Amino acid sequence: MTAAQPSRREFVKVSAAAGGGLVVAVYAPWSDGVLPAEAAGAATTAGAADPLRASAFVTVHRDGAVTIMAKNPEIGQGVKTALPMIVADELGVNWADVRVEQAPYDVERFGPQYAGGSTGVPTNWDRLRIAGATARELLIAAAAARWQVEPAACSAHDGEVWEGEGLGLRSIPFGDLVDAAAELDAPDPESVPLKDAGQYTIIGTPRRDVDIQSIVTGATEYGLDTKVPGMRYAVLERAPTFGGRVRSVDASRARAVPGVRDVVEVTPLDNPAFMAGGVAVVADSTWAAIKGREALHVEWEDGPHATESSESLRAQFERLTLETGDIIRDDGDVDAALAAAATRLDAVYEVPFLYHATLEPMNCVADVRDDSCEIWAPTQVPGLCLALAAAVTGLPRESVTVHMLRAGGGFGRRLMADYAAEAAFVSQAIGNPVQVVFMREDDMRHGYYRPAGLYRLSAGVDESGELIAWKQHVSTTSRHAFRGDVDTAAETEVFPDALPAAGVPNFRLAYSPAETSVPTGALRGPGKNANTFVEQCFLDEISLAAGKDPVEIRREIIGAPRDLPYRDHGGPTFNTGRLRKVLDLAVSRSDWGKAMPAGQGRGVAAQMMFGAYVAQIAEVSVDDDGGVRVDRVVCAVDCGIVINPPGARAQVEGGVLHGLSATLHGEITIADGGVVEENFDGYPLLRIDEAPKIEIHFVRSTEPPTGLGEMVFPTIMPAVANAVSAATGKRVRRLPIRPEDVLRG
Amino acid sequence: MSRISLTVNGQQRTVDVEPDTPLLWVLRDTLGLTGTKYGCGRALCGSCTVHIMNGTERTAVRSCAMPVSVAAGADITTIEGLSTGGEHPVQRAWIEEDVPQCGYCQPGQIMAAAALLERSPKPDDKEIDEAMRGVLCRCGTHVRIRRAIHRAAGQAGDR
Repeated sequence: MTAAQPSRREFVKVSAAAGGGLVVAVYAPWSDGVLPAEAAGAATTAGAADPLRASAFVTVHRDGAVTIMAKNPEIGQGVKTALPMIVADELGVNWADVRVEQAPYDVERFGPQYAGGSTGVPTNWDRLRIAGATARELLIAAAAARWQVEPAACSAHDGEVWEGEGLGLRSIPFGDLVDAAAELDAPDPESVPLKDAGQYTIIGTPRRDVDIQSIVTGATEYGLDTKVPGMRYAVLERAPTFGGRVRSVDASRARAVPGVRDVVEVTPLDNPAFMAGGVAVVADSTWAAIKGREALHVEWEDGPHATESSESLRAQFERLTLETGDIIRDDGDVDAALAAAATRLDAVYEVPFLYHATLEPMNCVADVRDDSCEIWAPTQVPGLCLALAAAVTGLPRESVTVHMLRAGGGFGRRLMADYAAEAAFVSQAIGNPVQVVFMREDDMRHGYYRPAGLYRLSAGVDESGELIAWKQHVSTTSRHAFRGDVDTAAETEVFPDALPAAGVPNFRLAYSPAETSVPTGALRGPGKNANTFVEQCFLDEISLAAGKDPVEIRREIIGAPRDLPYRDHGGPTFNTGRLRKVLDLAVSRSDWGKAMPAGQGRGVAAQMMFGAYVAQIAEVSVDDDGGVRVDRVVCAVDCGIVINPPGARAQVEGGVLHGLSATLHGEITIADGGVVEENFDGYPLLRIDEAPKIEIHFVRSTEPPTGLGEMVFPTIMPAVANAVSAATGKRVRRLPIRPEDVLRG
Repeated sequence: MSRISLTVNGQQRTVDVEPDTPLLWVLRDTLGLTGTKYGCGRALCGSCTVHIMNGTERTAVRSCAMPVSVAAGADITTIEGLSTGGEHPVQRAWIEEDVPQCGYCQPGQIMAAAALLERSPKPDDKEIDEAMRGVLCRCGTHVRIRRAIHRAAGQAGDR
């Protein structure tokens, strides 16, 4: 075992459970983590906490059962299973004896609680191991005292403390030790011994989702399933143009609809990222609210960009990327190198707005009283829900309670908390608990989309086939600018430290945010989900121009194994050796280099993101009409230690299939200042008959675990686009892949 | 408002609702059976799939697009009534293959799969794709759904 090396001071408290049992609380000062700005928002003020208040991460009961709190929101990423596995392994308990309970939102007790940036596992890795190890060491100490032996002579596994060997082997179940253990002083969290990677008995073993039984029987309560006594239902009519305001409301017909109780004008908050407002129809049932809303008549004042469209935005991107822009990185002399290059390539790539399309649409229940507010939310950011509910109602934060419900998908949409602000507003206005429901059309037309953008690129290759210059000017509808962040300079819209940046001697990256009212936000792999497509495809173009194999040019740019600086999430450094390893692994498990029949092709992409390394090789078939079918995907992933193998595979499969949905279908169109698409007929998702064979290979690793939720999604898009080009000889430079682009190039 | 009688999960239920109310909202808001999910309201995503007995045959229908007046007198099964404790072969296979991610679409997936297997006890991949393509999953559980249906059909390891 090795001593814990927490990156920061952890506080540990031990106490007796009510009714008997051992409680171990671990607390780390909050605001230390890699909290994404989305999650931080208004929620970062919960500073001064009492570290000695029990957090009850783990409770060992007298009957030997162990309760472990699932601290973060579960949105389908598997943390409700994976995080407790980490605690249970250090503790030495059998997984069958573990009960997992969803923690309430309480940062003083549980530290940062959010689902964003794929940080759930890496930011809790130390803390949860310390929690489990602390409980284990206390139980060992209690047993050693009873036996009058040295604690070092004892070990803990299978829910018991053990000592001796052969016929002298003896043990005491944890349950018989808890009362004595609760009287002991907690070991120092800085030095409590933690297992070495080879000693794990639960980490790295397959465990099913802890909620699976209730999911398959329909018993799991999602946000939309919340019922509070006396609760009413509300749907909102929202402005047809982004940023639009209510001019007048005629609610007479709506109020006459049977079951309709009230019509409430919801005033927007100053920042449209928090709540854009609208008119709520409140009723006794969801259907009555829907019908009432159909009968509602609202006159709207247009928003500031009421004539904007996908075409006008594209024209703006075109213009901006011909200007200088903000220079984000400038190595060597890119213009001179381009002028001197033996071969010069120029290309323009484009990506559309993407919609998150969680199957469970946005919704929230609020019960606002004179002196309290209770929120039930399927959310990635319970803290932001709390902050916005407090802001909207005028209640102090201490008076607001947030319950986290299992969410029917998140993908970044639930990093916003507009639904909580709306529910709190309406509940306060009507003096009654209420559920705000986004109909699918509302959810699709009033989202916070993955930014659209245009990428203007040039590259220079010298006579020997060496890539000597790379120039890239990016213009997007910046999600940072939308939210009003002080620094709009492309914090994660572009990645100045990501390869090929450090692998090309003359390199310039420029960025220009476009003016728009279209709401944007984080979507799975934010920034990366556009840049990876562009850069990995342009690299393929360069490899062809240089007469090189696409894998070979990537190996050249990756270069020798070394740590390179990386200022974004996943840094401060990344290791080129680990990137090379996943690339080589994917190549070796695919049929790279093997000839394919006409109309078929193979494409590769590889990248580091959020600390994990991903390489993918896609095989596609292209028909005579330009239709693309993805037949096979080989994925190689280095995410450090894998906590729950089936959960990890599910994230990889999910990333591939979600990414294919974006590659083949995903596009939100803007016209007249609003969204054109309304439902899944206009915005199709990938269906089961389009799902390819997916082969997944994890690098066996003893490195600390990274997250995994987001990293696969961006990488599949260029792998498929490159495969299409390999099949057709035509280059696809915009998403989604359209038959006309496949045929024309 | 109209009084409408339905058989839901073997129980006779009478509801007093507007006749154009979709069956989905009657199940969820009036009867409290929230296992059947809202996803699109237009029979485009399949999250709301339930069974209606047609003679002796179970048909998978989208409850979000069926007015309750049309369902009057019908014998309806929801995810809550598919089995008493999750022991239907499809539910067991779903657990074995660890299918769900967020899980929200899974009641609809399971109901669609159960209806498929009644119709075609040993479906091949093509039949599975045909029967299941109308039920959307955003998390990307499709590969495991296929495996679980084969398993439920007693064909584990076929593929």
